[in-house]
Amino acid sequence: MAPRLWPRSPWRWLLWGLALALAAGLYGVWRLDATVRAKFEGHRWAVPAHVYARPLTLYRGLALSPAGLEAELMGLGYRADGEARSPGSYRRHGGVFLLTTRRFRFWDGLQPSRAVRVVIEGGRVVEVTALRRGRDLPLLRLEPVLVGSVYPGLHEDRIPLRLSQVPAQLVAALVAVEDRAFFRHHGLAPRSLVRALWANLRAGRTVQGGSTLTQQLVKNFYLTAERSLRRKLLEAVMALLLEWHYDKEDILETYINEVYLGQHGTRAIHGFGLASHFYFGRPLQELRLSELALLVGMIKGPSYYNPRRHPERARARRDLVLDALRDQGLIDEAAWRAARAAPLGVSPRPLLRGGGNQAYLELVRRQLRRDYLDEDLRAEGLRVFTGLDLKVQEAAEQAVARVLARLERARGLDPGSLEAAVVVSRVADGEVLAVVGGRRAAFAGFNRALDARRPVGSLLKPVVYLTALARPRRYHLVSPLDDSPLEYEAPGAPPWRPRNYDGEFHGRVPLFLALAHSYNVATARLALELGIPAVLETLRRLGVAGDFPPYPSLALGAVALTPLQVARMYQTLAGLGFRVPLQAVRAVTGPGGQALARYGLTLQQAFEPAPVYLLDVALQEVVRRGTARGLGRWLPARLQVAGKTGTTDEYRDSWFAGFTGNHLAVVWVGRDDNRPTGLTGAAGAMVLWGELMGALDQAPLELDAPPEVEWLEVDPARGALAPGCAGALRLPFIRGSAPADRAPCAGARPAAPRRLPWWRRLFRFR
Amino acid sequence: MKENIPGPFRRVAPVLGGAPGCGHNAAMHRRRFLLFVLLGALAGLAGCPRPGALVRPVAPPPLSRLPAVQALAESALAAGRRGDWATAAALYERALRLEPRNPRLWHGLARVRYAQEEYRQVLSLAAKSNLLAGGDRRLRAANWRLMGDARHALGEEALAQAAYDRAGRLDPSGPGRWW
Repeated sequence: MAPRLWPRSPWRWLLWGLALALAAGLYGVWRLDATVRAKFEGHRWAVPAHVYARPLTLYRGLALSPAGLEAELMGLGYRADGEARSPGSYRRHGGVFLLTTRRFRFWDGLQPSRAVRVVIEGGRVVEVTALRRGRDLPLLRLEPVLVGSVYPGLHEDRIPLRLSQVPAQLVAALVAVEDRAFFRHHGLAPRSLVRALWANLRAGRTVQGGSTLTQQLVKNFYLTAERSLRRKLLEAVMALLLEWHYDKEDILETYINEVYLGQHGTRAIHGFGLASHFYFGRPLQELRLSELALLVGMIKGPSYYNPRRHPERARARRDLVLDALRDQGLIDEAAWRAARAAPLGVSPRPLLRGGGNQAYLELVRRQLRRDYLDEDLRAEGLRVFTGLDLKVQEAAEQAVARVLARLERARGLDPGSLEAAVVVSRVADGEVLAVVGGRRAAFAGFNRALDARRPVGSLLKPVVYLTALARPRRYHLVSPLDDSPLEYEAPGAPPWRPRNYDGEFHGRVPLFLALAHSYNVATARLALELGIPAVLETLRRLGVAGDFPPYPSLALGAVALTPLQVARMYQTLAGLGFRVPLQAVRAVTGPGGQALARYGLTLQQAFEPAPVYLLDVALQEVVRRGTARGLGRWLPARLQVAGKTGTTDEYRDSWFAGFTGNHLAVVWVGRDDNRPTGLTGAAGAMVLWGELMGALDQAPLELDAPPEVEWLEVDPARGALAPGCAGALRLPFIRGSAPADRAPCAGARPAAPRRLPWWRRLFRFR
Repeated sequence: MKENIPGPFRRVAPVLGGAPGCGHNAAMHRRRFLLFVLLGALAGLAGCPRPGALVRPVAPPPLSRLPAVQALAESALAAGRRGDWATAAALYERALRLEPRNPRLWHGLARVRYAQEEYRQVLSLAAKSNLLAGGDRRLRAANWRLMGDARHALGEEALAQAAYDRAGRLDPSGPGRWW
């Protein structure tokens, strides 16, 4: 009998079992291997689009205080440093700054790091020179502040780095503390494991982790936080597979970008690149040994060792890392001593403000959504350059907080019951500089600046008056308007009886004063004369699209607009009839730094400049002698601010919109539940507007008179020319439209001046 | 009527310089004329530049008193000469952010938009430049010429002709560059 291949005994089953288990195991490993490789190779970091504020451009003649420049540098995380020769450092002596910028890839190219000298005198930059060769620099662009990501609600964020960009000391510290055998092992380090076990047993608690960097990466990368033997086994196998397929550099680079290092609201901070910005406000390459050691130390427990919340723990942990570096001979005694003596160096609050700026970021998001897919914004590592001016944004947020609290106190309103929204833009090109969507700037909730549609009240009056002034044969600034009781009956509607806020009627008033004092009845009558469709057409040309029913009450502001829409409308007024889109985004670049899109300046002439010029002068009169007289408390008369108050029925909405030579701002104050606040436009929104604009550098509003405009002296009460009369006002008129009448004090039209003999003319110079 | 419209950056004509006070081409106020004839004659004797010396390109007047704006505008012009219109536009926009009321920057941007064949933009930008140009007749004439070119490109011949006519009235000496 031939011997059997398998003994007929229990062994047979055992061997079959073993073979099956082996096959299953191999199959499992093969499956696992596929998973490991697919994820590792196919993995591109999901990097949400990062958003930058506007870069500050320094040039001779720029209005800037030394404190202003220092604040800007601090905002960029520059270090005050003796030499000021390393990128991201500066030295200040009064108004003289030495600083070295960082190299930065803008949308229009790479800007190398530059060491420069900047001198500020009398509130202006008077010198910008390159330190090398002492060459005069016409302009120097500082790198912009990274203000957040397009999707702050996203759970993961990172700034991926290549291993070559990572400081060698960081790698050394990482290996020294987390996995000494990293460059020798094959994914697992049994000796380290045993050593860790022994140390933990002796200490009676976990003092050392036995996991290799590879295992840690596997844990973060592929597995859940579950703690079990099965998972530990899986982790070990995957670590071995990872090491088998990839070299140490790839694994280390991935680890450095993957490791979890903190939490900012709902956003998880992954990787050393982002963590460096998050904790120190500087790129990783600029960190000192002590700071690198702190980051490495935090891997063990980012929230337990959070240096902002637990500075002592964080410090002790950092020192432990430094000790390990010295003990292993990786740093010398002097470096060790210096690093241990260094302060933590953490910026007091995250510069990447997951808080603040939310309202502005929402505007950015909306502008981008027109051109980009959501997935691209979430994952493709785009960089978005915006016009956000952090100084303006901060001033606006502070003004909202301060003024609302004060108004509530003064008026006995419930604390927290008032809300506000602010939009600030640059007059010249319509770039949006700041947006406040409510009191809680850090809260990405309801954005009142973009989404709260509220009746605008008298903010709409300029639309009516512009419609009139665009008919110069019929109207000018002193055209008499009738502010006597009015009853308007339309078929199928109750009679409309507009009333003035002061409850009185003012009879015959010149056009510009009816606007300055915001008389409702005169405006209503004017609007009816012009025709509501004509007023609506003006509104549309000012840049406000929408389907508004042509009721006459529209002329008095019974039309609901968002603060952003109001800003658009006033932007066209500030631009003398030239409409520009209100834009937040300047440019977008791809992951390689290539420009994907640039949002340039576009201009559309919507009106002839002359009527808008007259209207703007009338809006200056609103501030000079009308409902916005009170602005003088914050802004000197020489700025010649133009603006308009707005109040709605029963004081539910308080508005102010206006502009100087360089800034335009719209402010709304009211309640979310739409209940009355008791605030007029002047008592509420204007106060906020004044405090905000008073805190910014303002240029006077010097309107450019179109050639067809002439300035004449008039008697406004009579609507007549009054050259040389006491109490006469100088106002602009479109040539040929000025009143024909002359006030009695001006006498008859003077005869043409007598020609002087030639020898007299010879010496008469003007 | 023009047969072909040259691109605005290619249209280069030498600018003639004239010394003021020599009475060659200065249209003077009548009142001052009599007085200055005397002084002018004296100055002429004292050494007025010879006519040959007048036909010489004049160093372009600075576009701005701000060196930063000047530098940006020069870079924009250089980019335009390379045909890199996107960069030229971006540079003009940066310059405008620093000096928004400089009519020559608006004009420069209008020229870039012309090269980019964005003719509606040209009309608005040149109109904006005109609004800020004040008494600069040559610049206003150049704006009207540019608007004429844009209207022509848009096929709006009557409006183009009207624009050229206005340019002609403002600056009878014809097209020229002033930087």
